[in-house]
Amino acid sequence: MGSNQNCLFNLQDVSYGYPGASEKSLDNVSINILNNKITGIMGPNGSGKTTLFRIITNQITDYQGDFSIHGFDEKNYLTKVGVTFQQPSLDKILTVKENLLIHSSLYGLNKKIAVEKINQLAKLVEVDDRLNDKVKTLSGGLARRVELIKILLHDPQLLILDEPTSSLDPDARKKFWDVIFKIKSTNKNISIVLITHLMEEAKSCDELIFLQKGKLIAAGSPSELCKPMGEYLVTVNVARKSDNSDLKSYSQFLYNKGSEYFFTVKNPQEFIASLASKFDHASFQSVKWNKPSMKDFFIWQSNIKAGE
Amino acid sequence: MSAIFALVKRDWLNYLRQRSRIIASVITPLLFWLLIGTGLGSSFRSSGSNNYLDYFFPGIILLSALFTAIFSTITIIEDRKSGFLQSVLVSPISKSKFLISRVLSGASLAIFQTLLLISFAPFIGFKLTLIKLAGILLLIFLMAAVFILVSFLFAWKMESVQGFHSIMNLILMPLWLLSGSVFPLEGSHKFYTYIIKLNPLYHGLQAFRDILVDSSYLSFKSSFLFLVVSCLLLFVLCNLVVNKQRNFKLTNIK
Repeated sequence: MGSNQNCLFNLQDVSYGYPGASEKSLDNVSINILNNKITGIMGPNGSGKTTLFRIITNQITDYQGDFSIHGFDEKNYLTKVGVTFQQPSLDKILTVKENLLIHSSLYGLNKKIAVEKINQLAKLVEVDDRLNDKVKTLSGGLARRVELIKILLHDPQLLILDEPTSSLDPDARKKFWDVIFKIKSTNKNISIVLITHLMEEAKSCDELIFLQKGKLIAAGSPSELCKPMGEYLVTVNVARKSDNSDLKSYSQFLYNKGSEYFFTVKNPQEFIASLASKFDHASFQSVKWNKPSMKDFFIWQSNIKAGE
Repeated sequence: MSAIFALVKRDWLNYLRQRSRIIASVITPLLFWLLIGTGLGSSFRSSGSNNYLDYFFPGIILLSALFTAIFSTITIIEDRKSGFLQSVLVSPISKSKFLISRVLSGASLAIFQTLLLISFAPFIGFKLTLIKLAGILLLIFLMAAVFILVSFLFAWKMESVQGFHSIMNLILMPLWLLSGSVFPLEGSHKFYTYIIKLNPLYHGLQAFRDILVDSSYLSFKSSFLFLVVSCLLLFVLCNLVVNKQRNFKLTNIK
């Protein structure tokens, strides 16, 4: 995933287990986070995404392995990073502006500069008419956008967003991402690390890192990740009681989940015809095909054992 | 605006915008003082003061100030749940500064609470001067700081507000009762005398009562020193606890 020149930071053989847990939450994970890119970290529940987030945001420091920063001084790491959490961490009975001023002071900004930045960013994320309103009067989507102002006040080089839109409706989610792309287009040097399990967000990333049960399963661009699934993904749904173990011996067989069998093929029609000639197609309840998507990749990877 | 001041201001804004909290924090101790004071008054005999309401007044102010201070530490647990604590921890502000902000915030709220209650003192018959007030507020500040630091040690590790309440009540109430707030400690069982001598609230309250009731500063110096040393020791301990996780393990390669 890129050379050191292009790398913002990397983790090398990082492992971590929570005290009292029988299994490690992260097991020998090595990843590179690239400069000026949107990198998505995804995986099913329990895959280690949150642990990774906590390590790269300095909430967990007693891990094994190395965390190397390239490009800026490690002492300044926290001043160069803007972090959002799964829930907006704003005081509800304070106004938007009061919240932002308090946060700006944590980064040593003087009040005059902070006010200027707040006004400028509020226009960018379209909350400039709500600055004097109490946070409790904002919708979830607006509160999320206020969070974005909060993390941009100190001109960070890296944004780390932990499932920023998981509690938002599709419209608010779209608006949030419009703002992210606007920020990215106005500041090309900014890098973003996004923790997510939403496929539409994963599609928007330049690079993706897929974790499963604490292990790194795959890394690359969305198209690179989908490549092993071939041109088409054929899904055959079979009757539960029929014996379909032979389906797995097919060279194009990818994986199965319950009564569904997935195949990676070049020509779906030809493949289905050949399948029907070899198997009792009466046991097939449905057959469909589609171009492989990130959602297919996610389901595929979530259904194979880590390390296989 | 420095980070410490900003964090203190945040707590003050939150406090002042919860009117019910302010009203309850004044009425509840006054009600306690009146009910317990008049209820126990007839059976009270002490060498220092014959009026139990006079005797109990410093004790109830202390209790109310300490509750305010401890409540302010609860925000650490609430802030962890809301994510605010994490956003502070991932910012460049040092944990020592964060700790100082907790002490200043809680202790200043305790002083405000004391000012609200002590404003009733002239109506009860106590003569207040600016020097007396300054001495009392200094003692309250130090006693509140001691309790904030003790409660910080628990709040830093705990995730349940209810659990924190239980633990703090377990610590606060016996120490408050063994401070001489409710009854004089002369002639206490030998076992208690050791606890009393180590109890920062006992030292602080004796000086407080001396100033308010007897206009005497005899015990002030020793109490002040005891409280300052307690604060410093606890501050060092808290600092060790919060900075235990601080070292960002990085290998910088440019």
